[in-house]
Amino acid sequence: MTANLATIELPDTPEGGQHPHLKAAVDAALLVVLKTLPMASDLVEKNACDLSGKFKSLAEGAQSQSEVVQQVIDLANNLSYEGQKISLFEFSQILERALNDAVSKILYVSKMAISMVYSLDEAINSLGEIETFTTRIQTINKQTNLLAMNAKIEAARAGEAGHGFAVVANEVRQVSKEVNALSAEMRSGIERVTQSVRKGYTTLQEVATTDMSENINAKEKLDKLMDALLTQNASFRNILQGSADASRELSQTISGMTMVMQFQDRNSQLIQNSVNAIREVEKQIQLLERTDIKEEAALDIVKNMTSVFTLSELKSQFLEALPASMRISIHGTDTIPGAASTDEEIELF
Amino acid sequence: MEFAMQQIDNTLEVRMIGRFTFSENQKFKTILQHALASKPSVVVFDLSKVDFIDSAGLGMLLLAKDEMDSVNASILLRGAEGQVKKMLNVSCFEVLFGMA
Repeated sequence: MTANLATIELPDTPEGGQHPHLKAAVDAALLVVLKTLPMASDLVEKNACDLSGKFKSLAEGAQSQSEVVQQVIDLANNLSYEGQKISLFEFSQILERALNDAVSKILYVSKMAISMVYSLDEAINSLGEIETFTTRIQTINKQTNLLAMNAKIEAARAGEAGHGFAVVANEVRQVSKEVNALSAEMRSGIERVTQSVRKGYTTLQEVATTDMSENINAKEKLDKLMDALLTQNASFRNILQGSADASRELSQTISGMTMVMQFQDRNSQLIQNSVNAIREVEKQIQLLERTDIKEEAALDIVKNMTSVFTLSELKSQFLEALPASMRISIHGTDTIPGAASTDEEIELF
Repeated sequence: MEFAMQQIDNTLEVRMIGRFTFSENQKFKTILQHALASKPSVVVFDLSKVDFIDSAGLGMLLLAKDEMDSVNASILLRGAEGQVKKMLNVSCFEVLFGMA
């Protein structure tokens, strides 16, 4: 704009002061710039906010997707049973306990059956002993019978006097016969008991012997199921880890993007400061033509202009653009506070 | 089934050969009576030559455990293979007995 103005040939000023047309044109141009700069700033700010919002919802979407994956895996791993949530692993442990319980009951019965067999062995031994007693009874009985016979013979020899003896001898033979019959009954009774006990052995064999091949099958299947569940758990864990990693990466990228979007703060500060500077320039433009301004007053005006640049970055640029002698009069030193701008950027984020 | 017993110090070793089923209960009773009489502190059943065991055989081992527990002696099972190993496994015998 300045370059263009310089090439245009201007008419003479009427009273040695400002040319009214020129002043009006400069004012108009400044007005346009003053209106445009905040518009540009607003445009950038609005779109930057819009983009930030979209990035944020993108991050939330990634987060909730990760939660959905977690829920799916949770559902796949658990069963709902009577209002309680049990994991497949716990379920297979319940099955295993049930199987172990069934097997231990089978074996308890087997153990008891064997124990019963050993008790019956004792019973049969005792019956064998009782059988030898009946043999002894029969031996004694034979002797008694023989004694009765002898008594009868001796009674016959004694004639009339032995008659009573003969009667007793007959009675004794009668008793001996009965004892013999009783002994025979006992033998057959013992025989019957022994038979029953032997039958009991067969029953106990059946009780003690249970086919356990199905239990072995079930156990092997359960072991395989447990292994499969452990493998599945491990791969679910990997999937979850992958999903969590992806979401974390995504949210890191997005927060990086949101940081970048904050350039609009800086941008609007720069624009605002520029607008303020232009306003100050607009104010001072009318003083340019005046010749009666003293050196001190002029320096004050330049100081005022310096203070318009609240951003140290812009202030440095302004000071740098001034001639060195002026810079020392206003700023007190020739060095320019350039490092301050970096601090400001840090404060921003 | 056939068996051989050998006692070294406090350990009675019983090597069993063949099938271990209900029919062996009398032989097993002999082993048990010997074990109770010779008072070892450990009875080792070597099952490496046993090719089949049924629930009655396991029941006899459990009965032996009860008897040995009552005289503070312990039982070790050794060398089970194949069907016998599976039966011991399904019966959780590794919890009840020592495994040599």
